[in-house]
Amino acid sequence: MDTLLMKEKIAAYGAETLKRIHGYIPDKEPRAYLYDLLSEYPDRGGKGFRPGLCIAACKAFGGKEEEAANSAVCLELLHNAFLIHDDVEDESFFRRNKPTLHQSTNAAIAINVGDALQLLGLSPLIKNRQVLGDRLAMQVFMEIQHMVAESVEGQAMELGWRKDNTANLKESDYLRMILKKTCWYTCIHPLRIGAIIGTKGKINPERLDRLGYFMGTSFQIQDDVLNLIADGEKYGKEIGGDILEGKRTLMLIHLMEHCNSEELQRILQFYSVPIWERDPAEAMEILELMHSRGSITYAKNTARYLVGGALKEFYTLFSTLPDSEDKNLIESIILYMINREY
Amino acid sequence: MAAEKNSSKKKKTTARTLADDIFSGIKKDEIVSGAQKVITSAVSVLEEEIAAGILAAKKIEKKVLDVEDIREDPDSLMNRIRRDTHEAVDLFLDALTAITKQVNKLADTETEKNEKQTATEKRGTVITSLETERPLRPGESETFKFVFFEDTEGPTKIKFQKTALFGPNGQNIAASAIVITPARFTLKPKEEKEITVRVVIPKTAAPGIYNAIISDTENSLLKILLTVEIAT
Repeated sequence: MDTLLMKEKIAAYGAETLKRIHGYIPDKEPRAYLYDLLSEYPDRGGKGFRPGLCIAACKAFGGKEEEAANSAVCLELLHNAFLIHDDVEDESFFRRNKPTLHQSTNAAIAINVGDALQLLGLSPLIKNRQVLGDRLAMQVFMEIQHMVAESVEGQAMELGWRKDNTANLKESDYLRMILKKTCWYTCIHPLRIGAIIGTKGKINPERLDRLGYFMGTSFQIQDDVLNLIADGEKYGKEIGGDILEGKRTLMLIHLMEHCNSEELQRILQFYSVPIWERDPAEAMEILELMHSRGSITYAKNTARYLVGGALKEFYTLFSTLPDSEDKNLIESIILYMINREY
Repeated sequence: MAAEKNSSKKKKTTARTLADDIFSGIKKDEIVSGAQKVITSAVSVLEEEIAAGILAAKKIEKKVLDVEDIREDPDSLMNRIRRDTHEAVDLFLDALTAITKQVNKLADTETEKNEKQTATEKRGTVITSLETERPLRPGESETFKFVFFEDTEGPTKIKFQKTALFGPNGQNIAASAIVITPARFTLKPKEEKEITVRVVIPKTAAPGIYNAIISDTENSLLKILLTVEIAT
């Protein structure tokens, strides 16, 4: 499946999910500072990986789109709730080419909208009982519960590193953090939930863990690389923003391990002051160091190896399933993760 | 058959192209060592996290769930068994051996033979743990129920054999104290089968922790560790 067709298919699943999201938003007051803002991020048009992976896995394993639709809505609602809270926590300025919600309103309102989106995420899970039956709906609920727990734990790890200006991180620390913060909710659980629904609970979902993990890590590393070198307009976030924010990326960890002591002191000094006091020119110096020390090349190669691992897992798991468009779609998503430019 | 051959040939070509695309710009000798290092490190982290999750889940389960209710529900029990299986297999075997195989396979995705091998090797040894939730007194019995599910394409014969229950200070309880029902059966593809394991503690049994292994004579990779604690 070529990239264009893959994007069309993902977009179609995303559009259907978005339509359903609108159906869950209450039509009542308070509109201006709550309900009208709930669809603000979903309407900006994300990549739609999570609902796409969930629905595609469901169909590849023999299920129907309708059966995975509520779970896909839940995933997308929770994802957008995480984004809003993430943006506040990271003090980010842009999301999907527009000001972040806390920039366009304020932090208090944005946090409250994020809370409401999390609450709204429960509704499709309740509706799952009608479509999937009590047993399967409960299994999906348990998947979501684990997904949220892992995500907040991963976020806590990263926020702690920033607060403490932690410098002695290893690659394994980074992998653990993105497994918890990103992989479970971006790839592992969407795949697991789709497969559980598609097989009517007969699959051992743990079989999808490595596939989702390799996909998620390569996706995140590539995302972090693009934050430094992508075309800003396509990417939709400020280029180099991660350096200013002090995000512990694989490139930063690699750089801190491979720069000399004088450079390390400069980097730590840069991160010891609040974000608004950090000089963008110094951030660019850190970016230059990342280039000169091979940190960006190292991260790019790591992402490629992980994509290789994801492909191997995919062929192992899916080779026994009948050929289908959705099976091809998942393969194409894996490849897209490494080839994407934004 | 001809159609299958054509299909696999096409797959081989596709895989080679994909690998070339993904690893373009990296020297060939760096690919294997680099990939091995990254994948090994990544898998270790995943396995550690899964193991930590299993331990945490077990603690919570003991706190909030009614164990007797769960035992009555084969599906719930099966989920627990699957978690135990994952823990044992992935921690002690997969993490050590499959990682290396995985990296080697990664460099060889072009051959259909490797793809088929990978699918079968992935299955690995399955060690399931069954244990009493509370110490049993001499003369008491406990029944475990779990479900076997066949997810391969062909039928699978299963025939159980069991050891005695080995306890402290060289003491043991004869294997006849363990009754498995059914002791032999054939699972068709996608079929589920409920298995009952009943342990009757002899009235003369000495206190302590006893272990027995239940295995499948038809499949050396399947093993069940049965642990029974006998109260004083």
